[in-house]
Amino acid sequence: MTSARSRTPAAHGRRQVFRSALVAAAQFLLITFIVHIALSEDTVDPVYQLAGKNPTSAEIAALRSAFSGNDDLLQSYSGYVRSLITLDLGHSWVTGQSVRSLLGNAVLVSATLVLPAVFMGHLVSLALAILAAARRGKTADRILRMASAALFSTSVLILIMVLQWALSSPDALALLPARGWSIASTSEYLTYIMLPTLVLVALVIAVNLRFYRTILVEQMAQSYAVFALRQGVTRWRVVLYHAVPNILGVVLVRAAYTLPPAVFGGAFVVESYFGIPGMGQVSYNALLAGDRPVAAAILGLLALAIVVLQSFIGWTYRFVRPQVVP
Amino acid sequence: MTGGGRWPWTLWVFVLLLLASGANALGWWNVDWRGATESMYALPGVDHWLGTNRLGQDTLARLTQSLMNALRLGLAVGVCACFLGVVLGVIGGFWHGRLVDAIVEALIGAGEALPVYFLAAVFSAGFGGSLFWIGVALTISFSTGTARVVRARVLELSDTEFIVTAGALGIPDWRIACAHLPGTLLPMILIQGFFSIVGAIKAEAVLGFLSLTHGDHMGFGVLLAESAQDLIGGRLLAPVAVCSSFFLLVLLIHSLAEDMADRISDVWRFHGA
Repeated sequence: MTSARSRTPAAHGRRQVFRSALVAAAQFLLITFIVHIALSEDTVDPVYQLAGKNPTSAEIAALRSAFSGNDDLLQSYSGYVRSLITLDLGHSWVTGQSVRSLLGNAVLVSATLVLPAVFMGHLVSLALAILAAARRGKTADRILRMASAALFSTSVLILIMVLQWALSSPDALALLPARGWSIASTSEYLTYIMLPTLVLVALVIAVNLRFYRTILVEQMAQSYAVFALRQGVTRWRVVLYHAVPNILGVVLVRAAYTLPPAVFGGAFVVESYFGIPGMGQVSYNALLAGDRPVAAAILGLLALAIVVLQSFIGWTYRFVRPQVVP
Repeated sequence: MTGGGRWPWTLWVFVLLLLASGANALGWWNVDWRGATESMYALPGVDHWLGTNRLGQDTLARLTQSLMNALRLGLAVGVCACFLGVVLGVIGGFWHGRLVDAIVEALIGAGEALPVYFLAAVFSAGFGGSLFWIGVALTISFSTGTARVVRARVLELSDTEFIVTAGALGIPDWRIACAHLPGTLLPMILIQGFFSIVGAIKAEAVLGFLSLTHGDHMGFGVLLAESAQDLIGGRLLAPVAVCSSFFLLVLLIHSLAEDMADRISDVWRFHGA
């Protein structure tokens, strides 16, 4: 610690950036190694799936060689990392389609579902948190606290079932289709995307509303806010013009952190359940069918995206607010 | 807070549920939850309080078994994740800035980089849907949150008087890290533990719902998947019972976490005063 303090700030900064880069590289290698080990335990042998009826031993040997089944662990792992870096992701064992094109289509579908939902979810969470902070201790605040506690305790599965029953069941409102996906026309697209989007928005609110309310209430206890209130500035004005701008950085970082897992993970549960052909459903099908190239590519790219994002946010923080970095 | 120094009622309910779950694991009760009768989709009655499913199995018995299994998995993951998280967090925080801290940071970041359902699904698919490996994946995922908050708290504590004094008295680093720091971190560890239990219960339900758990395992996921079909068929009783039980279990543990946090911080303040 003493030696670090005796360095010049520039040298210390360079050392910190170098250290972060090393940590990020280690993280990436560690995640990909765990994924590689887990997916190497073949539960489904692709060779017998693709060989067709009555294959000859030569055909089986050729297919096995094509799937690199003879490689040792280190060789196959280095091949996996190389494929992620070069984006040469191979072909699906089940459909034979290029993994890169498969994921390219799926990312677009996930993005159209997840991005608006995450954006709306954070926006609604922030708006409700502002209302709760401005009306702290009043009825609106109490109702929101109870609702957020209940929502936080509700599983995504229950949310799906309740919303699906309420909006799609013939016994209830029957407004929206229960499952499925269509991009034949804008109105059909909107009809099909409404229910999954509502589920995702509710999930984002469940996770973020309490957090945003807490940090806004903390801001309102700061001396600048107390002083402004004692000077006669209204609570609404202090929240909107002073407290909210102070927490916007935290909101943006939190929203940024939720994006890669949401888009690459593609709302795993929601897409799988509603039959939306995004990253979530593609990865779900790949895991069920033992389609290793697809599952490994999704997880590896997800790891890469998150590690890059974490490093980017860390470096940005160092640049913008060096005092918060040890 | 319950006031008057009494333990919160949520704690007693939770302990009772754990005891019931332990007795169930030993085969002392509810051993016939698989039993099928000829009365499919029977309405609630004296023999079947919540009716039966399409195979004639008793809904209440299966719901109870799911609850017991969920508690056991949740507790196992909660304890293991807390232990792992505390070990990593104390090591990273106490030896901050050294190589070991960088390794801990990489481990935490790696665990955080994969969404919990994804990691559990990969372990489930890769290792044949075994509940043990799902538990391992959940432990890895939930230990990172504990490790991060413990590391940050240890960093704060490392400049406090009692740690500095202990160092000045010649107490070795490892002893301060093992014997003195974890006690100070107890409230935080407890809260993280409860959240890990809830997380594990929810994750197991999702995996069961998506048919990513295999074998003869009864869980909330399987029941919720059946309930979704019942809802479509217009049968409301079983879905309402299953969803309510699951919701109340999670709410109970969340409330317990908050009650315990309040109580422990009150005790802490009292001793501090």
